[in-house]
Amino acid sequence: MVELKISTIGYYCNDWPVLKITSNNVTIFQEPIVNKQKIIINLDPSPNELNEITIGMVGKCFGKKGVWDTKIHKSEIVEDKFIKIRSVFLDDVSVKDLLPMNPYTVILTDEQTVKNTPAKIVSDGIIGFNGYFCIPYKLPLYNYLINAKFKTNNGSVKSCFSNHENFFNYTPQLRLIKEINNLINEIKNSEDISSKHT
Amino acid sequence: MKLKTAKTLVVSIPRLEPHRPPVGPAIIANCIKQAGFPVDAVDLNIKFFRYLNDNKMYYAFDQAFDGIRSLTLSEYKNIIRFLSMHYKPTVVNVDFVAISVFGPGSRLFSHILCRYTRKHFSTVKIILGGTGVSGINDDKKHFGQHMLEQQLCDFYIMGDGEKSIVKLLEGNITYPGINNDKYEQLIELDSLPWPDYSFYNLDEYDYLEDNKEVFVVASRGCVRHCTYCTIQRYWPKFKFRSGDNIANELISHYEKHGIRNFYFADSLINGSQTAFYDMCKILARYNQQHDAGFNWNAQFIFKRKHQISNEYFDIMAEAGAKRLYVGIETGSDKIRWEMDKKFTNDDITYHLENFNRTGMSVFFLMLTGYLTETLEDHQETLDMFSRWQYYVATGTIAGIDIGTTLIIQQGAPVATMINSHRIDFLPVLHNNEFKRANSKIMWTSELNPSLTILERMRRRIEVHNQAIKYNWPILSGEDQLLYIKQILLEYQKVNKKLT
Repeated sequence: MVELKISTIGYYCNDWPVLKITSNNVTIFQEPIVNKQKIIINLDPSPNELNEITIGMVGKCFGKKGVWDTKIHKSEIVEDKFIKIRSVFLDDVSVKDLLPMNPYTVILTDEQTVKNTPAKIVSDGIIGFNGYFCIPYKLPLYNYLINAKFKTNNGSVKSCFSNHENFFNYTPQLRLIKEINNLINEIKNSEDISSKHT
Repeated sequence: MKLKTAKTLVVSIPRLEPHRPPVGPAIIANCIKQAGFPVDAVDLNIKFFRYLNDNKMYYAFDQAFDGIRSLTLSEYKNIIRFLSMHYKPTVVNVDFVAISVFGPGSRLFSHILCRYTRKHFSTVKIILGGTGVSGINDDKKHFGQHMLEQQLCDFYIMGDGEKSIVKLLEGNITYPGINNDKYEQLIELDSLPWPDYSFYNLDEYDYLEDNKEVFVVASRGCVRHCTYCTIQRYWPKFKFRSGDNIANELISHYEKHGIRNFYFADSLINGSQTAFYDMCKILARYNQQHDAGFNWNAQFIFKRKHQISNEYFDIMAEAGAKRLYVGIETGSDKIRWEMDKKFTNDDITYHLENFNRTGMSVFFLMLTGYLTETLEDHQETLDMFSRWQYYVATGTIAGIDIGTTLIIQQGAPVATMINSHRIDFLPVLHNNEFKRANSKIMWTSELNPSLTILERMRRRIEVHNQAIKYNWPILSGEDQLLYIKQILLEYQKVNKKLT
């Protein structure tokens, strides 16, 4: 079980926005967000596969039967239906900082076209279009999240004292560990042989 | 020479971090200036870093500076070329060159620099200072004494240098700590000058983040007496500056240079709870009023959880505390208590929770293979990686330095336990002959016979593996493993010779 905890704010225009959450392509939440709302859901992830959560909005009107869920007066938005994601936690670890890494996928609706609407939007939690954020994860969860949140590209030699770049560069360390373990065994064996001789 | 007009050049040398200007020399240079003497300062470390213009090449020197390998001829020639380009032109109308020997890793460079100075500036007097001067060699002589005997320096200063350097320039060469080890620790720190970073080009440094960062020294010594630590050899008493004095220094650097990032060079920032709390309150208030955005990192000690409130953590965060480096050493409460650290795993969890809540992070410093460590204790160290992995995932634990296992160093309380724990040292090979007492990492204790040298290294590797298994960010992991491998190869060589 992995606990998904989301804190949201819904902004009204004609109606309250509807938040949709899926887990591995199954809808697990689809309800209007009225003002501030906290959602807690227990997920049942696959132990070996890559799991996927999507968090997004459905039902916002962009001209369907003349209904627009964004009201504009003198070129300024005066009312808009949107959702603000204030926080997202997986087993108490914030993953909100991962949202901008996977841009928001826009699902074109009604009179939206590829010409006037971007297909992907880098956002840190504002949902203004129908579509979704995608948060992939694997088990063990913390191992996956540590990589996703903190692991940076290796190769840069910033400093031997404070080399943040190489903190997670395990490959050469694992190679050395193997060499050292072999060396320890070699020494042990030679000690055993010499103790038998004496 | 008229001493009152004597000009001093304060010189910093590798091995130092290139991420911030050197604090000790910046203080010493300011002391000389405040005393009315002409002074200048040069940081040869950052100049060397920029001269090489290749980080890998720069850090490759570390192994030579640390004595792991010899300097190659081409490296030596490169240093000489560097000195002629970047040091020689600075020694203009200079009467004294005061070289800061930061630690053992600076001795090789200081040796080369002293020879160079003698050759090219025979009338210039050389003064050595810094903790690297006072390290005791096998023959019980300090590095400073060695250099004096070889006529590579004229004076060495042991202990705090702020007053001694001025006394020396005034002509008092019998002042405590000058060419002897009878130095007196400075007691009153508030009256000392702050570091003057105007001597350095602050744009030259290889800052770890986008903003400039400088060191601050808020205290000397330590309130704890951790059994493996040698700090008391240098500073027997814990002495600290008042909270407002420290805070005002930070504010002064901010107002003078626009610096908002600081690194406390102290053994611990919260040795005096009162001074620390006062400092935090002033910085928090200043932050709020001026939007200064202070950020500071420091070494820190965990206390018992009943000694500190939640508000303590809040005020730290508001004052700009960002990352704290803490010696937790082991996952075993029993071993940590025997080390005289005086806090438990429960206290660690309490701190982690509060750091997590307030957005501060911590960096664990470890010491595995302690004198009395059993397999059960070792298992408790292995267990901590899964127990606190959550805090790695939240970013609260920002890294771990697993260390190299216990080294029994002269001057550390553990060195006084050699007889009571019946500790024996493995002899080392030197010019194909055995030499004793230099292998401070290769020890065994008759009271803990299962902790052989080999077993200690095995446990150290197991801890490293566990850290990798739980995806902990490891500082200098590769370098430390190379060191362990080197120890084992040396052990193997000695063993073969012995059998």
